Amino acid sequence: MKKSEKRKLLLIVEDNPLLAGMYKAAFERAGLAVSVATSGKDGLEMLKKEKSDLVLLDILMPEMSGLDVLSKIRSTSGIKGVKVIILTILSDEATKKKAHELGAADFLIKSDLDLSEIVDRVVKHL
Amino acid sequence: VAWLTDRIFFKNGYSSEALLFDITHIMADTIDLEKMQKKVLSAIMGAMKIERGAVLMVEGHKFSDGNAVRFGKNDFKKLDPLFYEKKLRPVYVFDELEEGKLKNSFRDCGVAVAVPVLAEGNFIAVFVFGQKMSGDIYEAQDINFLRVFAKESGIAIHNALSYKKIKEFSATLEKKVEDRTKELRAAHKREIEKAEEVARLKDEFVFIAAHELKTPVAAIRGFIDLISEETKHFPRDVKNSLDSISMASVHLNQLVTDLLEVARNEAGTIKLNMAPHYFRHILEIVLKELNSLINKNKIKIKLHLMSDGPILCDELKLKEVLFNLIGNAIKYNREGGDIHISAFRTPGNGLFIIEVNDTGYGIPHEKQNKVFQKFFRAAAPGTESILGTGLGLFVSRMLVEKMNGSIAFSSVEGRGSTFALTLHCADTRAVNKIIKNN
Repeated sequence: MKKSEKRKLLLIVEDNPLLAGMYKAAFERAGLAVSVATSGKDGLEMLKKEKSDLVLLDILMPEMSGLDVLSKIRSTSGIKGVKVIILTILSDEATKKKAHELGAADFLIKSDLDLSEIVDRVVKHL
Repeated sequence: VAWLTDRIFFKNGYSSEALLFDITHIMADTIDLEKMQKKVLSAIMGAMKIERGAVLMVEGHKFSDGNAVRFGKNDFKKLDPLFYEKKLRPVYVFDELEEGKLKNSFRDCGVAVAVPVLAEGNFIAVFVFGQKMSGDIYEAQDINFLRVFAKESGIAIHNALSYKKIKEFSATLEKKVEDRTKELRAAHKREIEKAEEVARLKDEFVFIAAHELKTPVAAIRGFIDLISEETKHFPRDVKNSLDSISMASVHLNQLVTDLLEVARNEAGTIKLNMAPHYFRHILEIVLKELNSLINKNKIKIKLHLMSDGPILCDELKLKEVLFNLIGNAIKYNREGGDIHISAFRTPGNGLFIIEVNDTGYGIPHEKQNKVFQKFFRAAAPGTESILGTGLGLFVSRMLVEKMNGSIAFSSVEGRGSTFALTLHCADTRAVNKIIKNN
């Protein structure tokens, strides 16, 4: 128990395996325990099992979008309170507003931030 | 004389004058052809006590289906021999006709009297009457009356017929106009829907293309970042190569962003979110994003903020514009140069002016009229190696104009450039209202 209290658990939901691997490496280097789901559906399953401290959630994914995942999280007992940060390529206001309404803790745009900046912004929320 | 007229005119129990008066009235008052025919028929038949009668209209060289009153289903085509009469008489009486085709056709149809109606010399209709109810023959009074009637009714029937035709024509015309209008409206609607669909597909394509392009760019930048911690172990040329890859990826990312804006503008799908924003806040975010570039080129930023707005603008778009202008001012500056950023309100007209001034290469005079064109690149000496998309100023002007603002510049080659944005201040009362509503 004590060990898991020390190492925070991050769940990355990202359908692009290249990016998923990259973020995983960066966050592990920052000292987090990281698991990766490559679809919204897998993400929800893993979140229920793993009791992650924070979810880093992509939006544009086939079948179930990140916003769908977020809204599902908010209506599922046991995980509805989990902290979620959106990490997407979408920069439009409407998406940002929707994410905010669904209680996203932060909204990060992949292509506008350096990887180190992304890590810093996420770690701040833990 | 009174006795004589009585004998002549009242023999059948009606007054010719009164009947003529009635019929004249009917014809003067009734513009509808069918009503007129019916009324006239019943007036005559009533007065003379005739068992049946009909009005047949002439169309071409045929009788069209007339307005038969109590005539049953007679085949009036049999009356066609009337057309072969050399000169139409005012009244045809069966009893007075010589044996022949015409008399036979009268017989077949049960016609006792026929009164052709002429208008302007043309045969336009014929009134036909059957036997009298009493079985009596037609008297001289009846025949005389019908002779007068035939003469008088021509023009009235002709007018009513014209009126009917005009009415039908006007109804047809109205219907045609209505149908055509409907068709045009439908076609117009289809065009609009098609155009909207094309714009939507274009936007969707641009959106997907931009997303697909940006994802690998994010990966390139991320992996460079990931290995950058190890660069101290790398030889200098490898480090330089990594820096170049990094710069190229930033450039590529900017290019995709700019192209997305241009494509959206051309598809007409740029959506602005106009709201009051304070200038200092936006500027700070932009300067933070440009911080590494500022440090790298050893640029000194000097702020002269006389006013903080609020400005009526789209926050993201204004950031993009400032990012472009200040980015240019850094890139096209000399190492260690200055950038002056001023902001002020113009008294009275509620405009907000932002100026970005650099001490760089400037834009050659002969190229100044092309500054806001697509893919313009300043080629002042010393700027050849600077990476740029050639879209920054084009996109900036486009976005500023979308926000009801304008952009202008002045530049002296070798001494620097000043770009000035003019936007509108957000009315303080309006701002309060928006803040309250949120």
